[in-house]
Amino acid sequence: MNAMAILALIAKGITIAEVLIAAGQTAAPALKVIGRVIRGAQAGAVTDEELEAEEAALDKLIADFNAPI
Amino acid sequence: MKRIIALVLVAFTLSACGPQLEALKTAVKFGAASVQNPVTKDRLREVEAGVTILFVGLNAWRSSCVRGLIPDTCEQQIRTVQIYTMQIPPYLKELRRFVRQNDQVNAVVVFNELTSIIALVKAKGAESGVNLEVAR
Repeated sequence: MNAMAILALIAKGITIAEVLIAAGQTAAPALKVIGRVIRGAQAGAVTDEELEAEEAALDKLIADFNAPI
Repeated sequence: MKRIIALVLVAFTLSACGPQLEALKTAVKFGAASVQNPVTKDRLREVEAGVTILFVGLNAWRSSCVRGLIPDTCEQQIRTVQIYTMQIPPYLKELRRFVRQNDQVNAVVVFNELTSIIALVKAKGAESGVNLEVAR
């Protein structure tokens, strides 16, 4: 992933963290996810194994939101 | 505590359009794929990173709703957004498969379908006062 895309991800992460903190929510879990995504993007070359690990985490996030409310 | 609730209300209700709501913009723009602009593994990763952050934002909204920090109408609003978010997993699964097989013809089609659904999620979130701005 190129440097601009990584910077954009960092900016998005900071925005989300600001909103969570302002809303009185724990930002730590979200920051952990965002940090992992950014580190993965910085790592450069993408292998199938790396993608699968990130995809499993994303699938869980989607399933969490899609659970009946 | 009242201040926290007030902040959440400002950030999430329909009437909110102030700086707090602006701060909720989740910038994720993917652009359209084509044969000239194929869906590479790197691009797939970029999209998945953006979608991850989008869902971090959506889950924060859901969490605020479940905790009763925002008006009860949030439940119906989330159910409405879920109509679209529930369509994402199968498309994502197919996109991953096509990218791994370097089947660009199908990858491009699925990629563009997926980004359209994400744009709908953003639009439905905005209708509920949750601005999940899709822009890089």
